Amino acid sequence: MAAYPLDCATVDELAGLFVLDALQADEALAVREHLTTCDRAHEEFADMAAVTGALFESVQPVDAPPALRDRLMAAVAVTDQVPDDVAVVPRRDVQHRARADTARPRAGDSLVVAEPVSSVAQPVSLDAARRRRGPAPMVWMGLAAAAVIVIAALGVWNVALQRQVSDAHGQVASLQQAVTTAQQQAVDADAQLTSLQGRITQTEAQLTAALQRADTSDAQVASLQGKIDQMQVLVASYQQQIATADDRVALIGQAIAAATAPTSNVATLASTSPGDSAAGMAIFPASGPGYIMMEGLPEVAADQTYQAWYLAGGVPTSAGVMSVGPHGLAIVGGLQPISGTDTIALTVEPAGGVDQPTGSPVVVGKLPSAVALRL
Amino acid sequence: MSEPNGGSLPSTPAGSASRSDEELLSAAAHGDEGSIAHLFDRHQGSMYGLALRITNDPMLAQDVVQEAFLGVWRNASRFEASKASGRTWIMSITHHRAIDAIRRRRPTVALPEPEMPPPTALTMPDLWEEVSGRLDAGAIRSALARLSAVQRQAIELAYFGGLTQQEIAERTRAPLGTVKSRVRLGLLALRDELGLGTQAEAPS
Repeated sequence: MAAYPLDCATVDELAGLFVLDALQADEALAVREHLTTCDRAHEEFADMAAVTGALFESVQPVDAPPALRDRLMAAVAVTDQVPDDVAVVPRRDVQHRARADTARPRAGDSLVVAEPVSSVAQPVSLDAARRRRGPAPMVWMGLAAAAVIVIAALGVWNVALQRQVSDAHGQVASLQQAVTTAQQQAVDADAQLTSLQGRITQTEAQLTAALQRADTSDAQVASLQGKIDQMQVLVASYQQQIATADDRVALIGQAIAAATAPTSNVATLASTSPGDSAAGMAIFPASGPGYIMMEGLPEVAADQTYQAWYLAGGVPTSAGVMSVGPHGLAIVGGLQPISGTDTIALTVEPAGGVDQPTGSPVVVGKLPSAVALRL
Repeated sequence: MSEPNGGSLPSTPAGSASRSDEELLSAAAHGDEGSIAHLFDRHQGSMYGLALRITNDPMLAQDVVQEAFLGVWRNASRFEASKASGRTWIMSITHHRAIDAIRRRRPTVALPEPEMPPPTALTMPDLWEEVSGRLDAGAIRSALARLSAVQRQAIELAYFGGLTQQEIAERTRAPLGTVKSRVRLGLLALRDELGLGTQAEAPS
């Protein structure tokens, strides 16, 4: 990280922004480096931090859901702590530790706070399969009309229009539930990763010890090294899975935020099969990319995929393919709808997607207003 | 200090109710899970309230509280009672995590460094604790209300909105130097209004 030296006056000038977390990373780092090395007390930071205290005390407390406490204490039980490595502090009866004991002259150490604990969802097997949808009799060209007919037949069209917002909120709540579940799995994935890393450290210590013994055979060394390599491969795979899931959860978070913005153009999506509970939203914010989120989508065969379509006056343009995760959850972001799009549809297509739809729509939804030309 | 938030749950060890945050953090630093549970019960309402205010998203706010509190647990040995009260330390970590979370939702913004520390770790003995007993949320809100509109806006966009100074400048169509001075003078005015701080008067 490229820090640059700052003088005392500049650092004082930035004190307020620093305590508010409103500096960019490199600026914050430069301030912190200055404070670590500077002989001056920089009292202004104490003042500013005290005011920050006033800011958080101004917020109305809200009790967190009880489940969070359970989850957190489970995570605490498997989370290693940063060792107290400064002085040899013998473990003593914690009940009788004086408050003064906690004051340790370690300016440098105090500058480092926890690396974030990953809280991402465990990834989802996307290739699990297998309900193949047969071709439906509906023809594609009539899709825009079909969308209206289907919804009207379900008796919800007017209601859907009138209750666009509450529907959207219902969907959001439901999607948030799915994400919460996924995140709970992530705590386990994280714990597995932590435990694996602990075992690697142990095995590496064994290896070091073995190498120091003269009589250690090459086979013993190779066996230990092999174990470490295997575990490293596992670690990499966990990390990859977590990163993928992290992206997915982040995308859902963005989509939920966009869905609740009053200026967004939001379509409620519903299955064309009356008995099917698949539902979702297409969200096109006033500016920036759009999203399609679905929940309860039936799985498709391994050689198939869902594909989303923009429909402008009945003419389909691909919006991209969507893979299905847990709870039939599927999401695609970064959408740039073509101008005039008034309906969103999903079809089941061969894996990889197609240029023009070959299947009939399995999910449709009409936007409250057609997408305007974007510049 | 304001009222402890959230009731004690049955699994909290008896006797810890009378222990200070700093004592509980010290015990937590030595691996005492009962102490960290009690700290959670004591501060979860404020943590979750702040996280909700910043993220406006219950799911994300729970994430923030979880990450922040695991950070407290992991780093309890780094807490320095001479530099900040336990509550200020915990709330600073919560604030930082919440800002981090909403900046991640806005991928165009450079993320803060993962190891960015809470600012209070750098401060002198915490001034908040000694005066906070005299203040309540209402007094703080009315002090905020007495700031000039542009100062209050700059502070709120930073602290609750998670915007960097550059983003605040863009959002409010003000030069960067103006944003810097609005934040600084606003915080100093707030300090004087609330009777906080070591320096008698704000430098003009």
